[in-house]
Amino acid sequence: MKTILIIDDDTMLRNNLRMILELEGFTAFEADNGLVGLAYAKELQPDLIICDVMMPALDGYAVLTQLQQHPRTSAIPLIFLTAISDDGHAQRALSMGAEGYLTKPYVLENLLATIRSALYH
Amino acid sequence: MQKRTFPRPLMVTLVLALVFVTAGGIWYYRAQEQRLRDRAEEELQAIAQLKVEQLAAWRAERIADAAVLRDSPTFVAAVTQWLSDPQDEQAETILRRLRTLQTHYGYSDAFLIDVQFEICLGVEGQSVPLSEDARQAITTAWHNRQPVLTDLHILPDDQMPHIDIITPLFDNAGTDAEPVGAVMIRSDATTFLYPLIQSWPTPSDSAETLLVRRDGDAVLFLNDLRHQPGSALMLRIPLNQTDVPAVMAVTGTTGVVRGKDYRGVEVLAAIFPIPDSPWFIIAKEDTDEILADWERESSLIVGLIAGTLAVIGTVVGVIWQSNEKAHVQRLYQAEKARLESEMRYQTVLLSIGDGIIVTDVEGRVELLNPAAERLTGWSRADARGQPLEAVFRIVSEDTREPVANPVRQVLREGIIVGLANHTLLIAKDGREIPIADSGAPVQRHGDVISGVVLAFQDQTDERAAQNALRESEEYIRTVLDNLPIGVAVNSVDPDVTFSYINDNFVRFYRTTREALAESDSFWEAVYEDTDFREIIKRRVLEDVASGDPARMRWDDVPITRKGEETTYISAMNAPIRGTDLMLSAVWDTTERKRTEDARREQHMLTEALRDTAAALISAMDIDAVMTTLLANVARVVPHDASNIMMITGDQAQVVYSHGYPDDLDRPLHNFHIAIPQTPHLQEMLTTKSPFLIAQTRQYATWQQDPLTDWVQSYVAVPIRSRENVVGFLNLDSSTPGFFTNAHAERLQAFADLASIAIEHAQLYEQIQRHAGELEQRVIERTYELNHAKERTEAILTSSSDVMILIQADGIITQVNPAFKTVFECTTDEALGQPCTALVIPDHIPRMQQAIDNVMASRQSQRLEVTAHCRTGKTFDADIVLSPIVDHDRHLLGVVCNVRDITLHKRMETQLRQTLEQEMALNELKTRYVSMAAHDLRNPLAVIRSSVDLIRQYGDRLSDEQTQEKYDRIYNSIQIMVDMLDDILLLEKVEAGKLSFNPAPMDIIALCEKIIEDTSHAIGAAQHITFDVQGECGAVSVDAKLLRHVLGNLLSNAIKYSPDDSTVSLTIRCAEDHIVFQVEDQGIGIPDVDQARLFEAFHRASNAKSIPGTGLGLAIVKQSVEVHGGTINFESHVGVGTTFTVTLPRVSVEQGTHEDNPDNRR
Repeated sequence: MKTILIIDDDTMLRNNLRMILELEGFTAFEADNGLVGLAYAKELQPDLIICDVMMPALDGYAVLTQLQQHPRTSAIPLIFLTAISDDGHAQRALSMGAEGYLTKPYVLENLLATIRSALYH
Repeated sequence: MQKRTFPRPLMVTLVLALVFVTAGGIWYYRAQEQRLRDRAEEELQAIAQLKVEQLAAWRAERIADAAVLRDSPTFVAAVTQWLSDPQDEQAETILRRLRTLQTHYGYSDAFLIDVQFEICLGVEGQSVPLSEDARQAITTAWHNRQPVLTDLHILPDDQMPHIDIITPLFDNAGTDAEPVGAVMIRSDATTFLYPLIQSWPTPSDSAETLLVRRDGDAVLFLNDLRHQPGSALMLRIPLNQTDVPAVMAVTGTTGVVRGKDYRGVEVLAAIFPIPDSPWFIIAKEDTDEILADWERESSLIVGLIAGTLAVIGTVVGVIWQSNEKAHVQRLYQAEKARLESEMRYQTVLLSIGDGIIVTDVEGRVELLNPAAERLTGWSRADARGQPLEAVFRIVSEDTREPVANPVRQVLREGIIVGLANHTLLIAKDGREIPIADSGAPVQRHGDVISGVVLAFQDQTDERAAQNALRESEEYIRTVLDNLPIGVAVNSVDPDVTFSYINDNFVRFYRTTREALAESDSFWEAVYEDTDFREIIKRRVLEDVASGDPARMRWDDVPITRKGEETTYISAMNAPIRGTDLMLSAVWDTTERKRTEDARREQHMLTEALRDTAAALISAMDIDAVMTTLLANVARVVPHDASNIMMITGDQAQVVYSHGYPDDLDRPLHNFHIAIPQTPHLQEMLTTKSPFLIAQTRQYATWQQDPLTDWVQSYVAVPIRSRENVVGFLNLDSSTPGFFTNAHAERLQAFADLASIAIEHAQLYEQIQRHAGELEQRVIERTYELNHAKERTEAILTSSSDVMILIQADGIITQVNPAFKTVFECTTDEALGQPCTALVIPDHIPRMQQAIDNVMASRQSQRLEVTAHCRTGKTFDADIVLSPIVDHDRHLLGVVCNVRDITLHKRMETQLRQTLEQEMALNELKTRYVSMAAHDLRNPLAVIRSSVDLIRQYGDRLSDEQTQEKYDRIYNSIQIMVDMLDDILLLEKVEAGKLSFNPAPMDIIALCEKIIEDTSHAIGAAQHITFDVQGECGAVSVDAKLLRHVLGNLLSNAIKYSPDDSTVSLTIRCAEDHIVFQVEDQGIGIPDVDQARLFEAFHRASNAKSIPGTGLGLAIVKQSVEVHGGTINFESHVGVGTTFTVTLPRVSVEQGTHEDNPDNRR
């Protein structure tokens, strides 16, 4: 069973997403900011990380950079799920090595397709 | 001298005046005396009447006083009661009333009397028995029911005269009333009555008023007498003394009377009875006092009459004296005049130069004057009584025969007789003296001749003078005869009749003495031509008649004789004084005239040459030269026709002509003459000299032609120019032999003038040609320059920029019209000023530097400075300085172009500001949009994910889970709604459209409500405390905004605080402000976020996990600020945060005024 770490400062969204992922058969963990997310990632070694961009303490890009710099986490695919609907941000994110860039409010099918794509390819 | 009597008219006048004055004086004396007496009588009567009226009035008043008591019911009742039952109270009432009467009206006493005639009460306390008179009066009063006055009487005890007034008292007002008593009021006569009687209106030594009544067979004097004091009611005079006025009064006499008074003194008195009483009043005055004034006045009248008579007498006397004096004076003057006349006569006689002999009627000598004594050789004494013939011996000068003595003829005929001329007087010593004499009768008293006066004169000197005159005449005649001029003496009246003519006169007039002998034959003898004769005759006669010496000279009068040469004379006339004759002088002026004519001709020629030369010199072309030549040639040489031929090759052609008949003129111009074939032209060409044919008929080679047949005389000269013959000047005359050599010479001189002029004209033509070319070039160049100048000026004038020309030293030399508008000063004020004066002092160095640079580098320069006007206005100016240089790069000046860029700069600034604002706003909007988009995406994502869960996985969710999802959807929607509300509100705030509607309200209640609503909405788990300090009452705030402020702060405090912590709201109400403080023990705000805490969409870094829009505090700050308040905070992370809002406390009245626009934001 694949494990997915969700890093987002919006509690309700994070909860909903975790519930959806669990209902889809994944094991999901939550982290409410970047720092906590990084710690969880190193600890849990998830198969996939879904991460917000704008967060207190450590933003999404910083999380990605930190993950890539650490050997234990550098291989974990990461999908940005953000409220920033900006092509610049999307390109930047993909060029940094993100597996996907989805904007809120996401379409469930797209999200699941992206997750599966990241996990199984 | 005759004794002069007093003139009768004067005497009559004097008598009449005396009679009139005396009679008038007596009448006036009588009238004055009567007037004085009448006046005294009137005065006495008036005084007596006055006294009568006063006494009558006095009595009536007393009666009236008494009647008041009688008619007083209370008084009568009191009296009745007291008399029936004497008690003290009533007595006092009665006495009080009586005392009132006594005090107010000045009575001496008052009594109450009962019907037994007993005095019951007395004001003064006296109780004496009544006199019989009083009893009688009381009885009368009771009977008549009227008050009664007693007569004057003397009381036994005080000897003073009194009068009593009795008032009867009755028990009722009816006619049947019974008397109950009486009141007797007593008046002291000396106090009231006597002063009334004794007063006299005018100052007098004797006048007085008496009051009397009859007392039996005597008259009783009731008042005190002036001349006999203490006699009131004491003095009585028996009625038999009828000359006493008092007696007359009581015996029935009234009016004015004369009599003797009680003293026996003569008085004048006026008597009148006093009505309703037995009394009589007598006003009297001593006759002596009345007449005392009259004695003075009568003396004055008598004195005046006597004085008037004396004045009349004196006046008449003075007039008579004056007349007498004048008469004597006249006599004296007449005698004096007579004596003076005699003296004068004697003096005249003695001093007269002629001899005077006076004879008596017998012809005997009575008087000789000294001249007669000297001439006759007789002394006056010797001659007196001698017959006149002995003293005055006269013989005829011519015949030596005695001449009839004129005295006899005068005595015989009684007329004045003159002697014949040439009479000799033979003196006593034998001297013979030529005399002239005359005799005149001395007539006295009518026509009676009383003698003869003979006057004669020594004629010796006159004879000598006559002889001298005759000799002189002969001398003058000799002189005149030999004078070189003609002289005549003649009359002009107006016929000319000569009385003397000398030989030259006849010769110069070219006539004979015989021809002039006839009266007025002069004009025919001298002037043969009848027309001229009439002209000269009229002129001469007019000149002579004028009497003006200046007009009596006639020069150069021609004297013509047929077939002879004309001669000329000048003549002048001079009137001979004392006669009607004229002295006429004439002299021959022929030679002078001819010389003058010749000179004049020469002069004219010279003039003609000079004028022509002048005209030729000013003639600028050949054409003008030739025309001028032809026009003036007649002044030099007279002729009938003239022409000028110009030479071309060997041919000559007439180019200019004058005076030819029309049929000749045109062919003349067309005719080319071959000079070689024309001998006289050829000759002139060769010799360059004049050519004269005096008579063409006699000249062999003269070509005869019908058209030129009339030409009888011909002269021509070559026209020479620079030694060449260029043409010929030909003159023709129809008079044979007209032209002479003199003409030829003159003509050549004239033609030579032309040669110079021709050269001149040729030169001028060349100059003209050059000048024309030059002028054309100047015109073209000027046009170009003007065009350029106009262009430049048009640019300068129409430019809205200021253009200033500066010379090399920086001084302004020219400005364009825009200067005046921009710099607000006139052109004159600018010219001559340095250009740097146009900028503000701080910019002068820059300006000067720029000008120096331009001049040095010859390059344009641009700078921006602040310029200033004379009016003090300043403006930003863009200045361009450009050098003006000539072709050689010499600097001529600098053009300074000034442009007012104030508006431009202002607009630029405004534009920049606007742009910045716009950009800021845009940035803000962009941020709003992106922030909103971002922050809305989160709740949307929650909603969507919740919906997805319910929709996709609903069957696998528990009911609680499903409900939780719905709640999340709801909450997210709520967040979005709140966010949108906040955005809209903030947009309003940013746009300045936030409405501010303060209203008074209970601030405590409001706060409690906000706390409740907020905590309820959030579901707070904290302890919320609310504390109020100070006196708050009603406060004027915008409740909606305050709710927003406190709600936000409280919800923030709750949201960011742990459960079970304490959130407190404290209000501190001061007099002028209110402080709201919200304190929590929450997470605190990191320092990095504090600076941007109130910015929209900014959220603290530690607050992201807690829902919020980031707009709340921005709105809070704006809301506080529209209240005019401030907001600040103090926060420490992990400890807590305290927000403090301070609002000014506006008065409730002010705050309620919602319509006040100032309160709106």
